[in-house]
Amino acid sequence: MQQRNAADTRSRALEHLILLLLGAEDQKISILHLEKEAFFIWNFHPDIKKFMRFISHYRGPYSEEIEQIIRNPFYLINCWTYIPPARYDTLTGGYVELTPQGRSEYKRLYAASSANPQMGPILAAMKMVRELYDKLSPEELLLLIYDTYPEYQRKSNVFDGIQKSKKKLADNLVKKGYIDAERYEDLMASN
Amino acid sequence: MRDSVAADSTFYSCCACDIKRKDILFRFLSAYPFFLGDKILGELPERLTNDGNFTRSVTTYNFDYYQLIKPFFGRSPRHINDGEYEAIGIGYMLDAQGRLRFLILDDRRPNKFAKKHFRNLAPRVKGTIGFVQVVCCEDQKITPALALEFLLKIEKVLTSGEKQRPCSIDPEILRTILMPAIEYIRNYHVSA
Repeated sequence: MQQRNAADTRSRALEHLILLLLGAEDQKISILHLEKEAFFIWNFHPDIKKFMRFISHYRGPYSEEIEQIIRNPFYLINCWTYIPPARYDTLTGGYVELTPQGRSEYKRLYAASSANPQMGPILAAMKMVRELYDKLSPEELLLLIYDTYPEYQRKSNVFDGIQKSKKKLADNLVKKGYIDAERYEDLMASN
Repeated sequence: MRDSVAADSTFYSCCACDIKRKDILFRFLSAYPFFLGDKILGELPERLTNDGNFTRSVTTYNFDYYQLIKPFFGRSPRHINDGEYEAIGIGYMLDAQGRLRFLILDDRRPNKFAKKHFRNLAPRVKGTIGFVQVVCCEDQKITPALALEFLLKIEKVLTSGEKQRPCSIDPEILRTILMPAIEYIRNYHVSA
């Protein structure tokens, strides 16, 4: 019974964390971006470790818990909408968007969390990763992810496709000013 | 209230080691709340980290901020312990809370990264020279005489060859940033 209560508390907290990450920017986000951004937060803050697990996957670090919560939330019903990927979209995993109910729930939760000093760094980190990574295309994000976390990648057609377009993607990242020459050289040198 | 400062280790080392003016560093620390993390602390000279007055004057946050931006810099171990990225993370957090006044980054790479990627942070990102100029001429937290003393000491250490790049300043930065800042404060001093 106690174990079940602990699991329930953990599930509820994880749904709240996902809502906070979804609401940190006022725009829809791909499942690919959401998972990777949650992964950065997971690496950043030791308290987040207990809520999720990440495993290697053909699209880099993957969390079953996040996938489940987005498709079948248990506590935060009607707070977001899952939009399946378009027919030829093999990268994004679909998109998720807050509903008006989700937006007002986010505001309530954000206000309550802001009052907790321990949550300050987590809330700021969520805004930071949304600002940093949302602007990358799925291909650009995967290029950086595959290169940075080889221990989480699995060889696949998606991986091969990104490797084939590596130079073009890296050139674009430089052109947009998102990476500098040193990072470009690193990307081009790695396999 | 926007009165807080996040600074990379270069700033502290500049004051305490390069120009040996810990007294002026403490003037800054008493004028603004300063925030740093473990990685920055680890890069500081012992003369600061063993000084109780220093450690009591700063607030420390200990999270792994590099993890948030790692894909932009890669997995190379040479960046994992860089304090600059910690300063950016702490600066971002303070800014999100409406508290950041300055983010002091003297190294070119993190300075450019912060300005390019974080629209709100950009106007608050300064190098040590820009910081001293604004502290003096906008915030009026130190006198023009003290600001000039600080900047002229950097010039002297560089031109005398005592240090090759005091406060990350090379001859190009001396010409394009340091000397104009000294000139600006001199004129401000006269007109004030």
